[in-house]
Formats: sequence, structure tokens, C-alpha cells
Amino acid sequence: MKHILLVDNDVLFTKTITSLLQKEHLDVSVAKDGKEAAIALAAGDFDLVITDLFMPYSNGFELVNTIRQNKFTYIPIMVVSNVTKVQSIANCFRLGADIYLQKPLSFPLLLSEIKNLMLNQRNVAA
Amino acid sequence: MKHFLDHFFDSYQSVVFVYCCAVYAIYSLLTFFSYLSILANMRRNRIREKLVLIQSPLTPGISIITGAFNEEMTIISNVRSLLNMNYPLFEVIIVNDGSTDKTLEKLIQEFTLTEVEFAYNYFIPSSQIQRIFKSENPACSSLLVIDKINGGCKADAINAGINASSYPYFLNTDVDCILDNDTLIQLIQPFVDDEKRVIATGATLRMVNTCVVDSGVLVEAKVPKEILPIFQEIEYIRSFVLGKMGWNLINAIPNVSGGLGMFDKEIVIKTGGYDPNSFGEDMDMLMRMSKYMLETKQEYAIRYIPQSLCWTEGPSTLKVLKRQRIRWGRGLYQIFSNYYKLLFNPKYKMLGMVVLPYNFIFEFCAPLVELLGIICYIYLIISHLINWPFALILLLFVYSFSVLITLLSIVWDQLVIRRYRFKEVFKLCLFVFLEPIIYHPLVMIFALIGYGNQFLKMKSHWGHMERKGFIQAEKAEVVPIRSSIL
Amino acid sequence: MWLHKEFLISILFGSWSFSWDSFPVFIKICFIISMLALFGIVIAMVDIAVQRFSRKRLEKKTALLSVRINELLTSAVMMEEPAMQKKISFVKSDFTIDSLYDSGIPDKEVNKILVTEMIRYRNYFSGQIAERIRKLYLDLSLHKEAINRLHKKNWETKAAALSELFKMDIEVDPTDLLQLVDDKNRYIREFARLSLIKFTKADPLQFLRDLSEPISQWEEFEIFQLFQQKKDFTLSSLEGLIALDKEPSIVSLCLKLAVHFKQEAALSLIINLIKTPNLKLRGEAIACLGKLEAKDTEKELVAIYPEQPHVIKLEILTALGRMQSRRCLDFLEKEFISSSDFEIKKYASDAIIKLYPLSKSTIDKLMLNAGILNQKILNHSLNPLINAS
Repeated sequence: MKHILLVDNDVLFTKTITSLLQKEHLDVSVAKDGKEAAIALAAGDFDLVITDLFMPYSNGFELVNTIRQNKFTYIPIMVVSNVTKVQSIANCFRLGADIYLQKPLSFPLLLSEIKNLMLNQRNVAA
Repeated sequence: MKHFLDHFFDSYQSVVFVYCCAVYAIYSLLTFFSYLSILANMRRNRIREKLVLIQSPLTPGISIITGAFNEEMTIISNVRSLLNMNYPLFEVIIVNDGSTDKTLEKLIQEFTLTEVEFAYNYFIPSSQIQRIFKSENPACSSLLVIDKINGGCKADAINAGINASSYPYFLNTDVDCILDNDTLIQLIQPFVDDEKRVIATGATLRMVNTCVVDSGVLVEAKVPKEILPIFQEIEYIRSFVLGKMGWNLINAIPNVSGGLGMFDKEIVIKTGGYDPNSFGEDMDMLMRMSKYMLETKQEYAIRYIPQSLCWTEGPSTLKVLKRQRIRWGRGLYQIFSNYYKLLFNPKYKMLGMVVLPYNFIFEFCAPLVELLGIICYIYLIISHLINWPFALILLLFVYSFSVLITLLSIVWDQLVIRRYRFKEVFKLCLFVFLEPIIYHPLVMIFALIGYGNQFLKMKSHWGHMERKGFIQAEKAEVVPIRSSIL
Repeated sequence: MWLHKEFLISILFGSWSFSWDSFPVFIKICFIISMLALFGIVIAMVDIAVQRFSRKRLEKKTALLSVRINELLTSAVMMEEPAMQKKISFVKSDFTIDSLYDSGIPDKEVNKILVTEMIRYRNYFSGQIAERIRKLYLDLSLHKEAINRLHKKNWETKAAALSELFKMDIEVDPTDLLQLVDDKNRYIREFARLSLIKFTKADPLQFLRDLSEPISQWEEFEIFQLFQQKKDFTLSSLEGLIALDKEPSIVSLCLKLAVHFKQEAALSLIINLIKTPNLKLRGEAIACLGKLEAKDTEKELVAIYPEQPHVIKLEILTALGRMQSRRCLDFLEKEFISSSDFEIKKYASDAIIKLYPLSKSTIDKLMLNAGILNQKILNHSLNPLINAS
């Protein structure tokens, strides 16, 4: 089963997304902020990271940066946030995020993008 | 001589009585006003969804500007927490004010800073800039570090930051303050949501002394354990929740605290920036901004919100507290010696007829009146002239009323803040009873020493530039609401 | 002995009443006020305790309720579409919602929390999930309650109801709305205006045309967002909106809309605005020309440049940089070299860099011949680290 790391400090959001994704046979772990996410990433194998931008301790930009600094493993990153500022979104991509989705989310779109990204990852690995 | 003294003290008694009644009448009014403006704020927060500010592409950018002088212990975690603000467009400008420790080295190493060729212009005066750094780490692209020669005061450092800032609003804070994640969102709201042009906003400050803080983030808010900080917490609650929120209702806020305030950069630059010679540079700035707005006939507003967004370290030793309060006393003295022309000047509307007169009569003169009162009291006791039942009833009147006012400010505060456990609030309430007896006389004496110092200094060094130490513990400038005990 | 003898006696024997009649009035008043204050102190202390206690209990209850509501909403969202019917319909009885109402919290409060959570869901999700939540809202007849609240006296209730209906995409009767648009409370007026714009099928801008009241920046954000999200919407002509005699805050909003929807047809209207005495608006109009890359207006901007105030000069320089046209390069270069004003130099340099690669040779030339300050400014504009954020 594919394993996704979901990083967001909004508990309700992570809960809902987790149940929705589990129904699609995806395994989801949740981290409340960048710090927790870094610990989770060090401990486990993930096929995808979905992260928010604004979180205490360590924000989404830093998380994306830390993941991309690690040259050995490539994990696709999806940023999901409320922000519409072009500067912020551009910064996400510059740091190495693969896709930016804006809340409110369309769930079918989210799902297809998740599948896309994981498919790509297989291609990269192969 | 004795006859004269008897007469003097006799008539002084009535003056004090009238004064005291006037103070309490104003405080009662303020209590009522502050209740109204807290309710209005809560109502507005229920209607206005902050998400709009995060989502909108039009949200204005904000520069967070803070000076750092020998902060190597906390600088990294605090800058990190500033970079983690919950806001879509902002920059963090750290002005290293000639630190003699490893503050700058630590910043360079942690954030992989690199020197950039920055076209810096002195729009407002500040001491000389040496180098400017940006982070090579793209995750910290919003960080800008300015290394400058020590200017001797916070005003100079903030001015240097303003010159390099690129957004229309700036947040002035101290690098060792712990800020709430939502500080920017909360403070920008009055700017975009008020019918008048807002030139400055601020929010409640509290003591961080006993709070649990993890890498620059407040984990648990607690009432301070040490005695002096508890009293200061009480003083701050009264000053912010009652004073500032009360004046907020009629748009007559005298000062936005230097510990946390957001300003309209355009007006600050037009009025020449912070005054490095002022001991109360925050109040001085606000006076000049208000004056400018009135003189150019623009409508303006200064807003406070009741939410606690900033936790600051309060002096825990008498020595540091004394230094801080003497400084504030000098600052207040300077304000009135600089702006006496505005006092009771109907041309300056609210500022000239309400804000300054109130602060002059009931804030600036209070320690003097109190001192005279105490002398009068002692004299009457010694000369057997005192009528004890009357004296005790008057004392009870003064004491009970000031305790009541302070307790009410805690009740109002409880409407907004829900971070304290009940036990903590209870402790706070108990100390309210001691505050007029123990803490208040101290603060009063320090203020008087401050006035005295300033009076003598200004006589001897008129117009002479004076260098002051940038004393780390003397940050948050509040002109506190006093609870006169006489 | 400096204590009065009677006083000592009075304290010892507790006979205070002896002197009450002989007290002067002001002492009597003081005494009464201090008694009141002491009473107030007790009340304040009790109030803190009671408030804390009751609030904690309520918070516990509502927290529990919110969790249940969220579970419910999640299950509602994930419910399989029944094969036969087109859409699910939620009925109070066959859905576990009934159980929410017997938790000891008044029904009104339960509904309030339910609606709050529903709105939160709709902030998370668009599309089908949002639609489901809306369906649930309608099936539980929550909208009827909200519509009833529109006629309440309290402005806060009214405004909250309006915003609830707005967020749940429920159309309000236009006659009601038109009445609310003239309400004396600004929040109600704003929400009514937003609803009108959201649900007007014909021309949502028509409404702005009739509006003469200034709009706050906050409202501007909300209206702009509304237009951004509207899918079935084409911006009609901005004529009559971008005009000199219109309220500046509305014109400013329309300028932003013109940029967002790339309304090149509105260019002639925008150029007229340059004549406005309102500097802020003039600046915005010029910025708008730049963002729309209106190369035809470049000549005019350069022509009016000399007599403009400082802020407008800066706007013109930025706009020229955005237009990506080689023709104004000489002008920018001249301003950069000859002006003695720091900001003019900096903005001119930013504009020249913006024109890259068109301006490549100019930059090289300037770099070679420029003095220390000019070089510094050019390097500043060129540095990707400074201009990244």
C-alpha cells in the first residue's frame, strides 16, 4: 500500500483527508508541523508528502527545502494551501515542490494528482 | 511657617480629593469604554473571517523589523519563529546593532547568509550601515540582515530597518519577544477594515517570564512566578485591556507600545522616523504621526486589539526595573517638554484637548501629586492634625476603588484570553490586592527619579546629543495606567 | 500620644456609628462608594470563577459535539451515491443527526456549531464534496432558519445569517437583499452587496455602477475573490466604472479586475484616469497600464512624466519596465544616469533590468561607465537574492 505523509496543523483537515484517502486504499500518516514531519520522514518510507505552508516551528517552505536537500531519495511533494499570492506559489516551485493545489480542494483532482505523482516517481526510480 | 504649612496642606487635601475623584471618574468611564470596544472587537471577529486575508491576492505585504544587540542565546530560534508567521507576504529584517558577541556569526551560519550589494538609502537618519546580508537558502528568502554600527538605541536600529524595507506596513518588535503566529493577520486587520485611515495598531503584551517556550513558540502561557513580573503583568493588563482598549473607543490612544506595533510606513518616513534622542521613542513617534495627520488635515485612527499577541521578558530584579522605569519617566518628561505647545490647543482636536491633557494631568503629574500627598499625610500625622476615621475611610476608598478597577480589567481580559489555568488567574487576582501597597509606590518613585534626571540633564546638556546604552531589558514601553493610592 | 482617644475607643469597641452623623457629606459618599467597591470586588472575583467554570463546561461539551459533528459530516461526504436516485437526500431521522440534539446543548447552539463546521468543510473542499454539504444543509432546513434570522432586529444576527447564506451558496430573495443593501449597519450592507454580486445572473458589475459609497479594503478583497471564483462569468464593459467621477475605491477595485481579467478593451478608460487629481488613483491607473502591457500608452506616459509628482514618476518608471518595449529604453537610461534622486535611479534601474534581454547591451554599457552609486543600484536590481521575496 502506498504511504502518504500529510503535514498540516489543522486537525480537522488532516482527519478528513485521512479518512477520504484511506477509502481510496492509501495509507496516511499525519504530522502537525514541519518539525514533526522531519522526524516522521527520518523514521519511515513515504511515497508522497502533502504539506500546508503556514505551520508553527517549521513551515512548509522549509519542509520542502529539507526534503529536496536530501539528494538520495526523491519524494514527490504536493503543497496544499489557502495562499494565492504568486510570490509564495513561485517560491514553492523554486524550492522543488511538484505541484501546488489551492484550497478549497476538488477531491477528484487531488486524487488524480496524487496518482500522477506516484506514477511519475516510479518512472524516476526506474 | 507652621501656620502656612497647615493652610497649605489643608487646601492641598481638597485638591487631592478632587484630583482623585476625577481620576476615578475617568477610570470608571474607561472601564465602560473598554468593555464596549472589547465587545465590538469580538463581534467583528465573529463576522470577519481571517481566511480572507490569507486567500486574497491583494493582501498588503508587511516588513517585520527588529533590532538585535547581543542576543546570541535566543537569536536563532526567535528569527525562525518570525519566519514562520502565518501570513502570505512578509519579510523579516534583523538589524544587528553592533553586537559584540556572536549574534551575527550565528545568523550567518544558521541561515547561510551571504553579503549582497544592497543599494541602501538613508531616507530617515540612522547610524552607518556596514553590510547587508540575504539568505542563500531559498526557504528563508524573506530574511534580510543589516549589520550596522551601534547607534545606542532602538530607534536608530528600527530606522535602519525601515530604510531597507520594501512593504507599505511594518511591524516593530523586539527580537526576544515571543509573538503569536497570527500576529500579522490580527494587526493588519484594522488597517484594511477601518473606515478611517489607520496609521498604527497594537495589541496586548504580557510577561513571558514563566511561560513554556519551545524554539521561539509559546507552548503554554503562565502567570509569572517571581513577584515583580506578576505585578508588571497586572500593570500591563490594566494598561492595555483597560487603558488602550478604552481610549480605542474614542480614538484617543496616546501610545503604541514599542514591544509590538504595526505602522504605516509612509507616514513614519514623512515624519522623519524614530527619534534616537528620545527615551520614549514609541510615544514620540505616535505624537509626531498624529500631529502630521492633523496638520495635513487627514482623518486618521490608531487602533488597539484586546488579543494578547506578544510575550515579553519583564525585569525580575529591582535594579533592572528601576532602570527601565527611570527611562520611561524621562521619556514622558521629554514628550511634554517637546509637545507642550499642543497641550490644550484646540487646533489639535482630540490630541490637543483629550489625549495630551489626560496624559499630562493624570499620568505625568500623578507621581508628583502622590509624593506631595504622602508628605502631607506624614505632616498631618506628626502635627496631630489628622482625623483618623476620615483618613482611614479615604484610604479605604482609594484602595478599594483601585483594586476594583484592576480586577475588572482582569475580568475583561478573561473575555478574550483563554490561555491561563484557573489557578493562575486566581493567583493574579490575589496579587492585585498587594499591588497598590507594594509595587505602585516603587514605580512612582522610579518615575520621579526619571523626571528629576531628565530635568537636570536637559538643563545641562540642552541640544547636546547623548549616547544611551541599548539596554536589553528595557523594551516594551508602556505608559501604565496608574492606580493612585492617594 | 498622637492618636485620638475616641478613635481608639471606637475601634476597640466597634462602635462606629457614634460619628456617622457628624461625618461631612464627602466622607459619607466616600464610605458608601468604598463599600460598593468592596462589593464589586467580591462580585468580580465570583464572576471570574463562575465564568471560568461555566465556560469550561460548555467548551468540553461543544468540543465533544464538534467531534461528533465532524465524524458525521465526513461520513456524509463519503456516502456512496445510491445507484437508482440521482442524488442522496439526507433525512433527519434515518441519519444519525438526530442524536446530536439530545446532548444537553440547546438546539440553536447545536445548529450553530453544525453550520460552522459545514462552512469549514466548504473552505476545505470545492466541487462535489462542497455540494454534498450544501445538500445536507438544505435537507436539514437550516437555510430556513437563517432566512428567518434576516428579519431579526439585532444587526449581528442579521449579518451572521447573511454571511452564512452567502457561504452556503443559498440565494436570498432579491427584494430582501435590496432592502439590506440600504441598511444602516456597514457589515450588513457589505454582505448584502456581496450576495447581490454573487447571485446576479445578468451583469454583476451593474450593481457597482449604482454604488456611490466607498468600499473598505476588506470588502475589496472579498469582491475580488468572488470574481476570481466565478466560473460562468465574463467581465462586461467597465465603462462608467473606470471613470473620473466614480468613487475612487470602486475605481481601484475595477482596475484590479481589469488586470486580472486582462481587459485590454478598458485601456482607453484607464488612460483617462491619468488626469485625476487623486494621486493614489493616478498611480494605480499607471500601474494598471504597465501590468496590461499597454505598449501604445508608453509615449503618453513619457510625455506627461516631467510634470508629475515624485510618486507618480516612480509608478511610470515601473510601468515602462513592465511594458517590455525597447522604445523607452533610452528614456529609462537617461533618467537613470541624469537623475539625482535615489529612488528615481533605483526604479529606473529596476525597469531596465526588467526589460532584459532587450536591455542587455544597455546594461553592459551602463555597468562599464557607471559610477559607484549607479553600479551599486544596478547590482541591487540584478541580484536574484534581493528580489526573490
